[in-house]
Amino acid sequence: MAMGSPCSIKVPGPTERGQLAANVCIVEAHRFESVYSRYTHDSVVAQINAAAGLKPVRIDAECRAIFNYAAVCYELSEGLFDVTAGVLRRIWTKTRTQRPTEAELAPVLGLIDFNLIEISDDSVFLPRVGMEIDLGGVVKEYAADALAQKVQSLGIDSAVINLGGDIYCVGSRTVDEGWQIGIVDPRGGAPVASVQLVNAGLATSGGYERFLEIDGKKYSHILDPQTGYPVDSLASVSVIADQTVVAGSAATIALLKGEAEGLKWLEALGCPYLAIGKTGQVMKGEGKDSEKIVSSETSGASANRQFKGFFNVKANR
Amino acid sequence: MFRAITIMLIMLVIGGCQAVEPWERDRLSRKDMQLIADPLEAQRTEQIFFSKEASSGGSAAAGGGCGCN
Amino acid sequence: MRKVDSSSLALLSAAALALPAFGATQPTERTLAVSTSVYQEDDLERSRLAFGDVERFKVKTNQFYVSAPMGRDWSGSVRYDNEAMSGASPWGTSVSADGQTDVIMSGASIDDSRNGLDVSLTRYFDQSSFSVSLGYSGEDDYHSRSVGMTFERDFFNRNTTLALSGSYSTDEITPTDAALYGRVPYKEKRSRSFYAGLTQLISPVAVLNVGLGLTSRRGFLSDPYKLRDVRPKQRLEKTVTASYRHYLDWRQTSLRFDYRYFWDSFDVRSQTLSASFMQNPRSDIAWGPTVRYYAQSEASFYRPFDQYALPVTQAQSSDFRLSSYGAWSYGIKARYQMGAIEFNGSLERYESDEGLGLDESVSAHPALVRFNVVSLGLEFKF
Repeated sequence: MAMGSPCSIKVPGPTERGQLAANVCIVEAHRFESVYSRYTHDSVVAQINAAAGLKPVRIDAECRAIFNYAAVCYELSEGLFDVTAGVLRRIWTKTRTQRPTEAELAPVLGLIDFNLIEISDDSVFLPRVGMEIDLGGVVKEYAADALAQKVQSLGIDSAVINLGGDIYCVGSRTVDEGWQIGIVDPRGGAPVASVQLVNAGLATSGGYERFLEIDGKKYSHILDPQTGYPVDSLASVSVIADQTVVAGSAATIALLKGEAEGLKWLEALGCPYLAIGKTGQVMKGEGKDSEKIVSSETSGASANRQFKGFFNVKANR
Repeated sequence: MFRAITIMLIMLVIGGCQAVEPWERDRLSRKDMQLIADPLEAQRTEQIFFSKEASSGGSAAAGGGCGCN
Repeated sequence: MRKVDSSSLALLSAAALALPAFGATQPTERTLAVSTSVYQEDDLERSRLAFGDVERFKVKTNQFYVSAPMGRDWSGSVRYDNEAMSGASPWGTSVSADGQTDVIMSGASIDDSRNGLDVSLTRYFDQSSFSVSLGYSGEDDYHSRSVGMTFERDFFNRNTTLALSGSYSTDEITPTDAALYGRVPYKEKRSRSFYAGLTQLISPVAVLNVGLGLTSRRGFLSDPYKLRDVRPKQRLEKTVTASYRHYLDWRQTSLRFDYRYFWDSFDVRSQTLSASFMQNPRSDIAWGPTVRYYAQSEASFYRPFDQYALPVTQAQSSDFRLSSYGAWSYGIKARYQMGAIEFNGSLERYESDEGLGLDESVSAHPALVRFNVVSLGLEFKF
């Protein structure tokens, strides 16, 4: 277990090299966890949070790049994707018995604003006491990409990295078959769709894997940083992109935008996606770059990157 | 020369260039905004001007010569 | 409200690729490009010909380029070019009855080809990259081998990039029919070259590059085919360059400006200014005009016509390329993108004139060139 979710690496065949790659991935996944988790007290994220309102904390080039990436997401989502939104968890606790009031949320909302963060080349400072960042929404997906790069650098040309549903598929499973990845229904365990991926990332964002139950009502863990309340939106969004981190932020922003705006965002972005609505209806888009999608009859040996059998929605759900 | 570079570096930085953030670089990453937009075209024109004019160089270090000059 | 379209995806991807797992500014796509072009000089004015053929140089060039990322930290590229040259070139000059320079041309006998190969390998680090390149260029009568190195380092979150490079080349000159025409049989020259450049992002739509270059050449720097061409055995060349790129939202236009000031130990000074204006009226079409201005002063040992009375040890050359002149060139470039394939083409017209030179009142050199270049190519990314 790393990143707080089940993780796996799949390499075909029982080769030593495959075992080595798996071991490297485990070490690297734990590194990401120890550096960026907000739960371990010595992680850089925990240090930044502990120093809020006090002093800047030194960061390395990788951390700086992750902040840069988070800034792009913040800009593109017009403030919805905000790594400072984690403070809302103080209000939305598991032991909660009542829906929080606006008065209760107001002081916490004052701690949420990505633009408040003072980021320099080698340091990060949260200017207000009580501010908190959570890079989990970027790092887990990025870690899938980083692990995939590591695996490839070890000479493995076929593998699946799965970090709690954020998946990168290195190469294909066989010469003419991509990696088959299933997408689960938010309300039940059975996969609702499957997709074959070759050299592509897939990330799923949804309110179903982790949720809060208050007064018998399920609340998504996707919280709107502007209102402080959970977003009443799509149940789940899966996106395919060249990088898992891009797929992940595209999916998260889609959720944060609410159902109608979220679907518009996905269409405009032009990535292949599959979204599941509140009532379980499945919506999908092939993306603008339709060259990336080949029909299941075509052999994929020549294409570098492809999405085969594009989101075959299963008939008997 | 290194001193000149250092001075230029400082001038450029102090000169008040606003930092361009990564998410603002989509236009700068376009093909025609690169120093060399097309390597083949660059090589071709350099070869022609090298063989027909007395001046050459200025774009990274000069490579080998040819019998054209 | 920010408009969301596929450029949002490009932004996300660009930001993702800036993450360290993806390496520095490493290319993520493989590129394959081919291009073919024809260079054709205008005929010489017949009245100014003392001997030889009026039909001047023609060069057909084929170029091939491939570059690819290799693993997570490396990329490599290979460039091959082949040129087929034909036509006549100036052998020397003589003085006409009215005191003007006349040109002695070779017969239209030149029929040579050149093959060039460049291989380069780049290693990417967190904030820097290092590349090594090897080059070879071979003709019947000329062989050049070179090795170069470039180091690039990013500063201030990639707002600034410093590039340092150096190269070394050795050239062997073995003129054809050396015994028959009394040419030197074998000569060598060596060049060392250094460059330091700084690229600075000025704003989200502007980038500036400045550079200093230094090249030292030693050995046989004369033209072995000219009847009397004696140049110093050393040449030190210096350049200061500035390039500026500016983006306009109007038709997604890129304005490109390049300036170079050049001066050397032959006393040649020159200024070069080129500009182009590439616009995208549609996302799959780019086109634009190009213009280039060039002006140089004459070399200290330039003579309007060859003076055989001078001792052979004294530097002199009547090569038009060492005279005072200037040139304008105009052109148009266009590209069309069809899926992963880009088609490109260009036309260029170059006209040189002694009246544009940096020195005043010099006699006209009839060998100054005027030429056209037409090129067609395609580029494939995969």
